[in-house]
Amino acid sequence: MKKLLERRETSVFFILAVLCIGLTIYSPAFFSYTNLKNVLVSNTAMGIMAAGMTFILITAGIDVSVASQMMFSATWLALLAQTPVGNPVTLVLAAVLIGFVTGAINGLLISRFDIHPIIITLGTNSIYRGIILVMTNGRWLMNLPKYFTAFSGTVLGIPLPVIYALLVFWLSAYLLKHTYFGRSVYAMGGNREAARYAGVDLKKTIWFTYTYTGILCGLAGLVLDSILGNCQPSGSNGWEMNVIAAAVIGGTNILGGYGTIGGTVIGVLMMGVIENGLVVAHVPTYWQKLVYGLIIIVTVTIDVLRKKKADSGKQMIEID
Amino acid sequence: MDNIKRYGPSLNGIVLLTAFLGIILIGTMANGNFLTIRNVLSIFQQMPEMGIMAIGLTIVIITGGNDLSSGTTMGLCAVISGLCLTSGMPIVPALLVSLVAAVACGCLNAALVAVIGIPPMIATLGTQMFFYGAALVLSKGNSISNIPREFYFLGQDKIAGIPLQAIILILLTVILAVVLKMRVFGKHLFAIGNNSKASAYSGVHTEKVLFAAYITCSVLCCIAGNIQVSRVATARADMGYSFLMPCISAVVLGGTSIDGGIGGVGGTVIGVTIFAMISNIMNLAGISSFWQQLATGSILILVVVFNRITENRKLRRRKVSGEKNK
Repeated sequence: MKKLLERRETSVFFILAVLCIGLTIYSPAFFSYTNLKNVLVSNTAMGIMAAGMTFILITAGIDVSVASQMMFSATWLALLAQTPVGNPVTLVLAAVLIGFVTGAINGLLISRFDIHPIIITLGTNSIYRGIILVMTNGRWLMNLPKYFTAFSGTVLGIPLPVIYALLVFWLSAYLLKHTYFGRSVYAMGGNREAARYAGVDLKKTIWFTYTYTGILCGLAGLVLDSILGNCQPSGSNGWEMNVIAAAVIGGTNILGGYGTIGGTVIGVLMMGVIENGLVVAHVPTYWQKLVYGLIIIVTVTIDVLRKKKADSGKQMIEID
Repeated sequence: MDNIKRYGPSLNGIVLLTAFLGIILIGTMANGNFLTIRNVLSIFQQMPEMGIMAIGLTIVIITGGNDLSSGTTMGLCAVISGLCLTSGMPIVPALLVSLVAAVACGCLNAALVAVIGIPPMIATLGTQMFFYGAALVLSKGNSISNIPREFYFLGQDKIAGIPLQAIILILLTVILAVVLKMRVFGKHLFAIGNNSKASAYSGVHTEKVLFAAYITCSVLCCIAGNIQVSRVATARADMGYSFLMPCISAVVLGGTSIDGGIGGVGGTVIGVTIFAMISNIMNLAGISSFWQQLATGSILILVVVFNRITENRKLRRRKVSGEKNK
């Protein structure tokens, strides 16, 4: 119990709960079914990507191409839906395949050449985005067919995108906690050298994390298209920062070694609730970034100071 | 380790110079207008904003840090000086106010990184959003136009035919290059980038040096922001937002290691010029700007991968030829 209280996720969860209660008191409209549904649905694509980002951040990597990867898949899928072969099955297969390809390219470049991931993903970010912009000439792809938008339907009052997101969270949490791959991810982020000596295949692990994230981005593209009903190839610019921020707010250590899917989920919800809360409270939307920034700075500062205090009694010997 | 440092930049220099000359060659062959004085001057009118920001970023990246907030610092300073100017403040005080804001931004970044000890990437991710938000709140999300005419000199005047901002860029590059190569402060920057703990133990005031580095970066962003305000005669919060990624790309292309400890401002300026020339050639040829994005990304990856392959080969050769007693 004490351990649970000490964890970062718990404190963020309490802040989230207080925020929700406060907003409900301020404006009961916040707690209505439609509003909550909107908050959840509009953040599913981001949540799905954030699950992948958690893996990458735990390995002490970073991927700034997630938004481009998502739009890459979204654009191809929208184009595919206009052809005769477009049907729900091919859409899902294509989403996974496209995501696999974009993610695998990132993973291969990073693991094969051992270049800092931010450089590689900066480059692929422009490449993926450039390809879809050249292909569509920047035009919106409108009027996606019915079977496409049916992906974001509702079952028993629960929106389908939320169910997809939950499935992705469950799978990611399972991978991270209970598989060899997941444990390698933690080991690598905690101490690269030690992990290597313990027999973890670093290259394979890196490749795996980026490819997995790619696949999730591909699926996020499918979900985003079906929610919006159209596809804007130049859209969702800058989402990568929000995705990273969500994972960080949820307690993932950007230096690697620590992070949980549960925390990331709370982080995504936090960002979503703040965005919605500002609208509900009639605060102009341009305050949103300011608040996000403040939250990141404050949570991380508290985190680092607390870790410093905890470490102050310890001695570390570095062996090189 | 010493050898890598001695050969690394020079090898990258050769690659960079080849790419630079190659692009000039392609441009001249593709379009007769490329090497005309008018076109070259137009490149030098648009490029300095990104160049000035990129050399500031180079300083921070050399210390092993990174400033993701540089683009939004530029936007914030642009909005602040825009607001001051439109409210009737004379030019010099308005510039000073935006300068003070820039120093404050740099101090905040440095305090988070150096004093509290947050990883630079994440501290500046937070301040990036914070500064952007502050700029949006100050400008209420609008763009600020009717900047007084007297302010246009910074981005539109020419001295002996050369745009003023290009002269500013060259001056700043020379000053920073001298500081990096010949001053103690420059050596300290590299020392921190190579090993911050070791440099602290050997008497470098790491906190002070980091403060100076981040403040320099913010001040340069502020200069870039003011130049852009003057050139396009408007101030918007998202002005430098799209500059960040190309700037980091240019820094890396210019041979500065993203892990710190290696690099210089000269390469960065060449990197920025290469990107500016590519987009200029494409504009002359009437190719859509979407291709530019594709080209920029591909060049970045090709150069970095090429550098890494040659570096690895050299390392392997050295391992075979000697150092057995290690």
